[in-house]
Amino acid sequence: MNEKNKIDDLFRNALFDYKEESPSNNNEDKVFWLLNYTNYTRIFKITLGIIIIAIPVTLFAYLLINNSNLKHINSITESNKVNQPKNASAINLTERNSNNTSQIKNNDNQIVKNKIHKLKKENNIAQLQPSNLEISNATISNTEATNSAYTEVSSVNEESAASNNALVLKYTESNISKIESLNAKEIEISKNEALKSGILTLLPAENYNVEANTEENIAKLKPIEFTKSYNSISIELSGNLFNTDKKLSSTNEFASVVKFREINESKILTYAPGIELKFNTKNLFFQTGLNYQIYGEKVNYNFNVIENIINNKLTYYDSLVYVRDSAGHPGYWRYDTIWYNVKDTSYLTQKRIANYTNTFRYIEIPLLIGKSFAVNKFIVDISTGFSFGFLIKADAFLLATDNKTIDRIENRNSPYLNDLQLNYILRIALRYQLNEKWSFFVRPSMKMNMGSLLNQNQYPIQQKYTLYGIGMGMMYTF
Amino acid sequence: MEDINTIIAGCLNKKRSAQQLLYKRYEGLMFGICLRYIGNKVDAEDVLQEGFVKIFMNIEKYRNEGSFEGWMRKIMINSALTYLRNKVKVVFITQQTDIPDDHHEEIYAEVDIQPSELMKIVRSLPEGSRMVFNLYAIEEYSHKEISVMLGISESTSKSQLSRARKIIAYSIEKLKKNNYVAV
Repeated sequence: MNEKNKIDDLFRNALFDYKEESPSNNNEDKVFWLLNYTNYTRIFKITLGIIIIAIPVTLFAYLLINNSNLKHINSITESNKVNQPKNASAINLTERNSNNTSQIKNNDNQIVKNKIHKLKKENNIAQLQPSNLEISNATISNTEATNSAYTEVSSVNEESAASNNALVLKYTESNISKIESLNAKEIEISKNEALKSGILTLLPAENYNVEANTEENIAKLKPIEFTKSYNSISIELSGNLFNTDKKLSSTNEFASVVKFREINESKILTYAPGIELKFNTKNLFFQTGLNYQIYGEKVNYNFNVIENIINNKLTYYDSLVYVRDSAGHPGYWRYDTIWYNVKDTSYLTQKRIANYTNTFRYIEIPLLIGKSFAVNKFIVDISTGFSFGFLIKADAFLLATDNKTIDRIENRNSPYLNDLQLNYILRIALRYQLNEKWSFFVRPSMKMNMGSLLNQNQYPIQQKYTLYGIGMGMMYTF
Repeated sequence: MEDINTIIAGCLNKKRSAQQLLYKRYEGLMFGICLRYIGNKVDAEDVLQEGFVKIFMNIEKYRNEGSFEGWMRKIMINSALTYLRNKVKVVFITQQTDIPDDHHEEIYAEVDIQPSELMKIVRSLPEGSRMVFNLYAIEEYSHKEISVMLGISESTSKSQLSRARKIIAYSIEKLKKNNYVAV
């Protein structure tokens, strides 16, 4: 067995089953706390994943159904419009079309109510009492309710045998108190509700004075214009993917360091989720919020350094032996007791390797101003401004300016780093208005550091990132 | 003392009492392993905790192939290596040294050194050398296996081992010297 194996054996025999007592008494508690935490985190992640998947699916399904219902309602409206004679009275409004009403679902009540309200205005029936209008709405908006309402009305009005339409009209004029007993309390038509319905928007106040149901007046009832949501507030959630491009610059003294780093560092893709508020005015919008942003690069240092290492810690005794017994007795030998220090002044060739992804994590507050341009349901938002970044975490290796050593940056308190960062931002978003409230956007953007990420007093090389990215997200307008 | 199979069965059923028994039984051994790789006690404790959490979370993956202790040992070693890879990224590899190689006397078999002293010597090794020495000399992995585990070449593994042995030799000599003086 050679000497080296003896070392291995010595250590293996001694340490393979070696038990060490932990200095902390609460290790066990920490293990089980960590175990609970890991379990909860796992549950949280699964829940979050389900939510992330469920929200867009639900939203999509909702929009799909809504769109489908909208088509139904439009077709019904068109049908009614065709059948409706000019100068129609309230009878026309409450005309019971069994084919149509059977298609109207309960969840369309509000939409139908609003349409009825508009038609009433068109037909100059302001003299009708609210209770009458309520009856009319109930009649049309709910098939089952309609049937029962008609039955009940029929039973109390002997003059209504001719037709259902006449029946309602008659009650309007003479039996209001009885009609009120039908109590269609869930239906309350107002101008505001009509505006909120998302289907039609009434023109300004003068349109409420329309006295006749003329084509001209009907034409004044325009579809809602999604883009003109003046003085509103929106909230947007976005996820962005950025390509981190970096510019290094220095004086000639450190040009070699800059060159080395440029060759041995490469771009990375980083993500940046954000939540922002958008304040819309007539012509412009202002935007602010919170973004999480990662800057960084991949470093791949691999180089040799020849260094003169002086190891003054090694102490040896010499290996001279001497015969202890000066009288000539053989066999006594010892190491001498003269000690001397050896300073190893050898040159060592050292290989230095760092293969790592540097990351600098910031929370940023953007302050942007922008303008929107709309074409139908497509809107282009152009915005520009600045963001203030606050360093929250850093994890990196940095080639020192001596071009030999690699410094470790483990946290945000490293003297190499600036805590605060100012950035310029330019964004162009293409937004599609799904309905009055929701819109989906795709947003290419550019972000540029205005100052160096590194503290110039500690590291005289400027390091500025320019990020090009694309993001997407949803916006909700209140 | 509870049978290990009973404890494992309890852990499989997520019984906290069984997990505590397992922890208590193996804490010392596993902490020794962590300390041997990590070097300092504070970080070794972190690795110990992470390692035990992995053991409890993945115990259903133990398929009764080989000893349970060996399986735990592997998890703990992997945790330590992962920790070292993530936390201590730079590895200085000495390709050539002029440290004389002829200082080693016939000391290794004869000297009576306490395991705790040997542990101190291992802990004092540079990270790269310590990892390779532990894996090769104590865990008995081959250089090829080590190269895969650490993502280094076989020659690097060999040079790290050689360096570790030299440093250990110096340290033992110093230790012997101190013992000699004390006598």
